[in-house]
Amino acid sequence: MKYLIFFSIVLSNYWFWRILKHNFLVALLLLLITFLLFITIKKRYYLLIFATITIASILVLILIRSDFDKTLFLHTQEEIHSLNQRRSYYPKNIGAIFQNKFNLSLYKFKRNIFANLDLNMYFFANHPRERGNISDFEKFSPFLIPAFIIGMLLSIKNKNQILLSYFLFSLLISGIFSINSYLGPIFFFVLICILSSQGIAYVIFKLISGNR
Amino acid sequence: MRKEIILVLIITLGSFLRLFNLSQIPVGISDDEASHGYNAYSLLLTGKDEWGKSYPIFFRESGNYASPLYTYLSIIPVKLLGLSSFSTRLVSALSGILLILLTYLIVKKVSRDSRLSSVAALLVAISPWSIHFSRTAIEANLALTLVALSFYLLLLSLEKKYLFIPAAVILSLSAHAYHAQRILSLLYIAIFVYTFREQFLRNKRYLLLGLVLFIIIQLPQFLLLNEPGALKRFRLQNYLSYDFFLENGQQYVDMKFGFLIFIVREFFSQYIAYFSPYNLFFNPDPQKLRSIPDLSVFYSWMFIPFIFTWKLLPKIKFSWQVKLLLLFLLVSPIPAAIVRDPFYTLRALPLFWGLTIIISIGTIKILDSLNKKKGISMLLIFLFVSLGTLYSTYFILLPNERSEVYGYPYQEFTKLALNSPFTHFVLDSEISFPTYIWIAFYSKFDPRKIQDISETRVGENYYIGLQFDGKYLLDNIEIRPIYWIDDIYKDQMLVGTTLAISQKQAKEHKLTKIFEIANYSGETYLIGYKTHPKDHCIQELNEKVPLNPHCEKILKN
Repeated sequence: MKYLIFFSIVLSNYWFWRILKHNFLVALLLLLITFLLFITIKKRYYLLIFATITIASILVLILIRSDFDKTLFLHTQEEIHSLNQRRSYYPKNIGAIFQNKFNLSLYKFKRNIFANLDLNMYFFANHPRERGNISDFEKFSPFLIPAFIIGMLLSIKNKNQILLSYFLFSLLISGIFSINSYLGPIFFFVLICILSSQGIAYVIFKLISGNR
Repeated sequence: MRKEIILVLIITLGSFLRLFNLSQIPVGISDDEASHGYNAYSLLLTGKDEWGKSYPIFFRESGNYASPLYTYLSIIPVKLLGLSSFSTRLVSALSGILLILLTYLIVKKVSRDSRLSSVAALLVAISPWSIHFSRTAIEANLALTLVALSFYLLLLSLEKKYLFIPAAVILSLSAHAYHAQRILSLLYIAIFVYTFREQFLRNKRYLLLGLVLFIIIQLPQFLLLNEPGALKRFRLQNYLSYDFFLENGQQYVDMKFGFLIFIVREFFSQYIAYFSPYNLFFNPDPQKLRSIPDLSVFYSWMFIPFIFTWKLLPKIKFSWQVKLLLLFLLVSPIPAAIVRDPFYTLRALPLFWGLTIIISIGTIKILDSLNKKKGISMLLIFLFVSLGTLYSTYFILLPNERSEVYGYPYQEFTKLALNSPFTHFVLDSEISFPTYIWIAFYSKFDPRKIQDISETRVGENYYIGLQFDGKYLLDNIEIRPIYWIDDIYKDQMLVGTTLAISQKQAKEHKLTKIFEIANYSGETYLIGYKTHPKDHCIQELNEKVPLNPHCEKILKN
């Protein structure tokens, strides 16, 4: 039953098919990670955990060539101009402490991380705060949100270390990937699928056990 | 004694962050702030607002029908200190300072943990949302403090039942402080009475009296509900109308139950946006007046304790304290989520207050996992980082990058115009709107004169007439769009932004640039041009084209 729910969520969203259409290998690796992580939640087979880490690393290496956020270190003329302009607002030489290239890179790194923590991006195509120049798309149906939240609360309640580790990995790694990526923050695909399917499974289980 | 010293230090820090250079930062004053201040001034001098209405239930202002309490309370500082940015903002600043104390008292009362209450008070004291909205004359900030005060009294009323009466009165008054509170005050009192129904039902007298007073205080607003002005903001900004659905519903328009699905989808997209870490910790409110450059409602580091709070979830017991906090958090964004402005921070201040308490719980959790020395060092580092960020973004970037939206150039223009009483200025109102209130505020324009102009326009339609063109004649300053076909034939000074009067237009109409007014960072914003009607008429005469009707008089002189 839980595998049926899991696969229907993984395969019934627009995001997966978009990834598949764009890059078959990435879609396959993503599917594998999602499935392996889904199994490892209940049974901690170290071999599976090792396999998940290996595939995730391969995926990072594949994506880093196409989706690495080069703007983290390469600042445009406009950004440099704005930096210098802002620096002039501060008294004496204090401006250099707050307005420098390192802080600009840090700002972009934080932007990449926080942008991926926005549920509206996954479920509402970033509505109501649509981003200019980025073609956002509804990755999952909004009706999946309650299931996702239930799944998230359950995994927090159960202190699921594997999912937590994966979340931290996705969070940090997403900081170096561009928010303009055509595929979107695909490492979070895994989490949303797993948590939503857990949420649905929990609700169904409760409904069945309630009826008995 | 140590606890009290810490609290005094926190309040001192919070007061400094709210009062330091209050009249200068934000530089200038927003049109809404100016309206509150000027209407308080008008009430003080004449007992009527700028439209000649005695003590209204909503202030018409420039057609936005603001809640009245802030303006009424501002009469006191305006009376004591005169009309200025400082006196207009003082009610908000004091509300923000009082909120720090109330946060301490409420958290202490609920948790009986003085460490947690101190950290919660400290985080409120340094939080960007609280500082920014305490330093601007914002009704929502006053409303939040009234909510907090009412909550504290409600908590005390569990022991001293009679305190339910002032608690209900203050909560009801908060509905007169900010529009969103009209919904929230009802929800909050319902939640509180429901949570503690057993205690309250034991002594129905105070409960009934409190509820009756709560309703009576809200009655004036309820009686006006049918007037277009009372619900103007909601009518303009909600997404519940069928017409809006037809325009924006896209794929849902042809779907069965499409309207319902569209509204549900819209509501949840708005609602969830208020809990989004991206919005809370990184991406500020899109409206420049409601935000600080590069800084959202919380500092980015606060995301760490925010996440840490989740670690408590497995151990959580659904005590009344937890239920109350959760219900408060879940209910607070509702008024903001039923309108279509994205992440409208002003409407969600109670949520940010609740989230600050959540973050303080996470902070305590982190401190507990460290030894005392490391914990204090970490807290000091975060405090230092926060104050550094605040200095850079709020005290440096905000005045330099936002002075235009706070009408700073109009302050300079008013000084200039007051020094040239014999020059007639036409100030363009097409691009920047409504400019009249800045001129009235900065020049302390006689309210009686402005009432004479305004009264004739609205008459009995104070709450009905929604049209507002922003055209005024304030002594030698005429505020209206520039009519090129006519204005160049009058001897006057045309003033507008660089967008309103282009260099090409100035050249074409033979205007002479007389002055430039820069924004705070030094970029030209307003330009004043002198007209040369005689030159135009002579040219027309020489070219033998039909003379403009004004030319006959000009040439005769």
